[in-house]
Amino acid sequence: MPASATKNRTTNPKNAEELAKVVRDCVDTRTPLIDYGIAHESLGHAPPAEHTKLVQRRHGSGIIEHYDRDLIVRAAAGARIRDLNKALKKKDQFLPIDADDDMTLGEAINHNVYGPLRVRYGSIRDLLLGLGYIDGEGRDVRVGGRTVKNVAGYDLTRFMVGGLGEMGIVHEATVRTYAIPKQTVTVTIKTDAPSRMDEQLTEWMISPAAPTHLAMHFDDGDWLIQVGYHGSNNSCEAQYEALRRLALAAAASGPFNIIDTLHQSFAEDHASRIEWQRWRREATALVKIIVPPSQTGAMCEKIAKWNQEKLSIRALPVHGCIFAGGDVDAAELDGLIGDSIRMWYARPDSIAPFGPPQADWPMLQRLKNTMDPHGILNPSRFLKVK
Amino acid sequence: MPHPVVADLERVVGSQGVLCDRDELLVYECDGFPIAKGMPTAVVFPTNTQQVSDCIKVLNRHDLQIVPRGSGTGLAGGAVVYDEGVLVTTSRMNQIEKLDLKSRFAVVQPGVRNLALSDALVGTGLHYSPDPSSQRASTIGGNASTNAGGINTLKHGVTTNHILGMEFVLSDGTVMSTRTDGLCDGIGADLPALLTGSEGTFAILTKVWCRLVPRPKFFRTFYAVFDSTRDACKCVSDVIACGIVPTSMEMMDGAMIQAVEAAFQFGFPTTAAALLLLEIDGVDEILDEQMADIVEIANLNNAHDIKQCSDADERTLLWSARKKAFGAVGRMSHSYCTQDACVPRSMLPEVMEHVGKLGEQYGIRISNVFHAGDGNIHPIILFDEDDPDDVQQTLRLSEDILEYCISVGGTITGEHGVGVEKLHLMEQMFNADTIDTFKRVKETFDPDRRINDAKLVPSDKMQIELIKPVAANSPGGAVITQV
Repeated sequence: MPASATKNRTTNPKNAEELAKVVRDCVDTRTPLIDYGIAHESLGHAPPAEHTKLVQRRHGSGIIEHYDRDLIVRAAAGARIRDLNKALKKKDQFLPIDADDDMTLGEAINHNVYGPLRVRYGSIRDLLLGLGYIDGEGRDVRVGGRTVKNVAGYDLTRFMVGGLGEMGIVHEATVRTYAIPKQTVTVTIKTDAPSRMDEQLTEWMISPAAPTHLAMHFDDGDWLIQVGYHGSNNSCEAQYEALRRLALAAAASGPFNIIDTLHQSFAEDHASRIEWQRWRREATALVKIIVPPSQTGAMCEKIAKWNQEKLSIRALPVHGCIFAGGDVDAAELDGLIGDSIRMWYARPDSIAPFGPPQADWPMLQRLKNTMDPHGILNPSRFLKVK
Repeated sequence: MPHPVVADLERVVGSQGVLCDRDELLVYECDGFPIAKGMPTAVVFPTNTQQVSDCIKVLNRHDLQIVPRGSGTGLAGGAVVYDEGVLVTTSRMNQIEKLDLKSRFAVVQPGVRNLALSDALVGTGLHYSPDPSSQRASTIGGNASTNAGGINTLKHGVTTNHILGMEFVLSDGTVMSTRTDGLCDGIGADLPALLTGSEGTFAILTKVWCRLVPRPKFFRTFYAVFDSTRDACKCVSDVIACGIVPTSMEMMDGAMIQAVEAAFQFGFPTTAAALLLLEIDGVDEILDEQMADIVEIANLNNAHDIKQCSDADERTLLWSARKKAFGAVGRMSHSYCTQDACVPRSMLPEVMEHVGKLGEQYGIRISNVFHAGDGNIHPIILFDEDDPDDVQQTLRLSEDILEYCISVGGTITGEHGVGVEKLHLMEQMFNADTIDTFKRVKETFDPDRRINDAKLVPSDKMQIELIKPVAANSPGGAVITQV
C-alpha cells in the first residue's frame, strides 16, 4: 500500500501513556486500531479499512535499557530488528530470532516470528521475559520482568506471542540476548528425498552433528538443506566433521551430498538466514503450514510434486513449519494441504486465512472478549468481534 | 458422618477413589509449604479425563471449591483447601500415552512423575529436560501448573519451554484442548503458555504434550570453593557476562555445605563460605576449552579447591548431593520455609549480602542453596513451627527479603509460584491495571471462581491471610475471610 494511503491516519505515540490515550480515543469513537508495520504492509494482509487508525512507532533504536552483563535487553516495541541488533553488537550480542530486519520487535511478537535459528535458541516465545502492553480499554498491563525465571502472575507475556495484536498493543518488551558466536560454518546439502529427513532427523539431532540452524529450500525443482553451526573454531570444525561422517553414512541409502561449505562471518551467516524473509515478501501466494515435525519432508514432497516449476518452499524440519508460495493457484495449493494447520499470508479473498478450526479457538475468543471488549484491536484479523 | 458429596464422588470413581476419613485426610492438609494448612472435605482420585469432568460437575452441584493437586510437592500452599472444598488429585492419572521419537514429543497424563518420563526415554537419546529437585515425586501436571524450573534450566529452559499442548477441564466440566498432536506452533495467541504456571486456578490439566530434546552426552562437571559468598556470586555474574551459558550453576553457602556434608559425606570442605557447582554440556571437543575459560574466571574471583568430577559416578554423586540438599536441612531445624525470589544475575552479590544481614537483624538462621546461574535464590529460613512468634517473625523476614528483591528488579517467585504464600505481595509486584487483568483472565476461565480461588491472584470472593496465626480460624493458621 502506498505511504500516502496511510499517512493521514497513522499515529506515532511516544510512550505508553500516549498509546493508552490513543486506545481510549479509539474506544470512544469505535475506531479500529492496528499495530501497523511491514507484517501488514508486505505480507499480503488486506489493506486496513478507511476508518482504521494505524499505530506506527519509529523512534531510534528503541533500546530502553541494555543489561549487558545479564544478556538481557529492554526495548520499545517499535524498535526495528536491524537497529536493535546494531546496538547490541556494540557489546558483542545479538537477538537470535531470524526476523526481517525491517520488522519491529512488537511485530515479531505479534506474529510469532522464528526461523532456522529456533533449533538452538528457541523462538521469540522462548526469549521473551517481560512485556508492557495496552489492552483494548487503555489499561497499561506490565507482566514478566528482567529476570530469566519468573512465575509471578499469569504468563500473559508469552500468551501475547502470535496474538496478531488482537489482545493488546505491545509497547515494550524485555528479551534475552546471546553472545555473537566467534565462528559460523554453513553447509549446503543437496538431496532428492526430503522425506528421508523425517526418518533421520532425530538421529541427527542427538548426534555430535546437531545443528545450530537448519532449513530446507526448494527452488526450480531442487532440494537444498542448509545447515549452520555457531561456536568456536574448534566446535564448528568438530561438528562439521561429524556432519560429513553422517552424510557419508546416509548417502549409502540415498543421496545426501554436501555441495558447499562456507566459513562465514556472522553478518554473512545472518544475511543467508534471512534471505527467505525477503522471498516471503515477494511471493504472490504464500502459506505457512504446521505439521508434526516428522511429517515435514513428506508434506514438502507432496506439495512440491504438484507444481515444481512455480512453487518455492522454505521449511524448518525440526519444528514442522513449512512456507510454500510463488506464482501458483492458491486454491489448489490450499486443497493439497488437507487437514494440516495453515495460515495464509498472500492469498485471494476466496481462501480462508486460517484453518482448519482448532479446539482452542473458543477459549481464545473468550479471552479476546475479555481483553478487548469493544473489539477495536486489529478487529477480525483472526478472532471475531462481538 | 461423611459429607453427602462423598457418595456422589464414589459413584464416579468408585469407593477406592475417594478419601474422607479424617486420619487419612491429615496427609492432605498441606503441601510442601507447611505454614499453610487446611482440611479438605474429601480427596478424590480420578483416573481419566471423563472422571475429572464428572467429579467437577458433582462438586458444582454441592457448591464446593475444587482444588487440583498433583503429588503435593508444591512450595507455596497452592494445593491446599482453605474454604470448604475437595482436593482433586491427579496422581492416579499416571499413564504415558505416547512417545513419538520421530516428532520428539510425549503425551502424558498429568500424574506421570517427572522422572518416570525421563526413565521411559532411557536409550532413545532423548529426554524431558525440566528437572525440578522434586522430580522423583513431582508430577508433569504439577510441574506444568507451576511452570517448574530446576537445575538444568539455565541452558535448557523451564517447563513452559517444553510444553507443546494441553487438554484441560474447566470449572463447569467442559473438556478443552490446545495445540495437540505434537505441533510446535499454532494459530493465535499462545494458550499453552497462559495455562502453564496458572497454578490450577483456570482448569484441571488432564493431558500434557511434552517436547522431548536430545539428552546431553558430554559434560564437564566441577565445583569451586570460595571464602566469601560475594566472590562466588561475582563469579556467576562474570561467567554469564562473558557469554558462556553453562547447563547449571548452583551455589551452597557455608551452613548448607556443612549440612550436606554431614548427611552425604561427599568430601566438601566444611570451612568454606560458598561452593559453586558448575556443569557445561555440548560438543565434547570444546568442553575442555570452555571449562578452562570458566576456571580462569573463577580464579579471578578468588576460587580455590577447584575440583572436576573424574567420572560419571562422581558426577551422579555430586548432583545427588545437590538435589538432596533440602533433605539435609532437617539436620538444622525441624521446620523451614524456602523463599524463591529471582533477581538479575548481576545483582546477586548485593542481594545475597542483604539477605544475610536481614537474617542477622531478625536473629533467625538462614541457609542457602540455589540456582545461582538463573539468579533464583532460595534462602531457607529455619524456624519453630510450634512457636507462633517464630512463625510471625519468619513470615516478616520472608516479606522483607522479597521486597528487597523487587526493589532491585527481581521477582517474588522464580519457580515455586505464588500460591497463598506470596499473594499479599502481588500488589507490590504489579500495577493495579495488571492485577485487574489477572482477575478478569481468571474469571474468563472460571466465572464463578470455583477452581482454586484466592490463590495466585487476590480474590474478590475470599481472602486468605497467613500473617496472623494467633487469630487463625483454620487448623493450619490461616485467617479466612469470606467477602
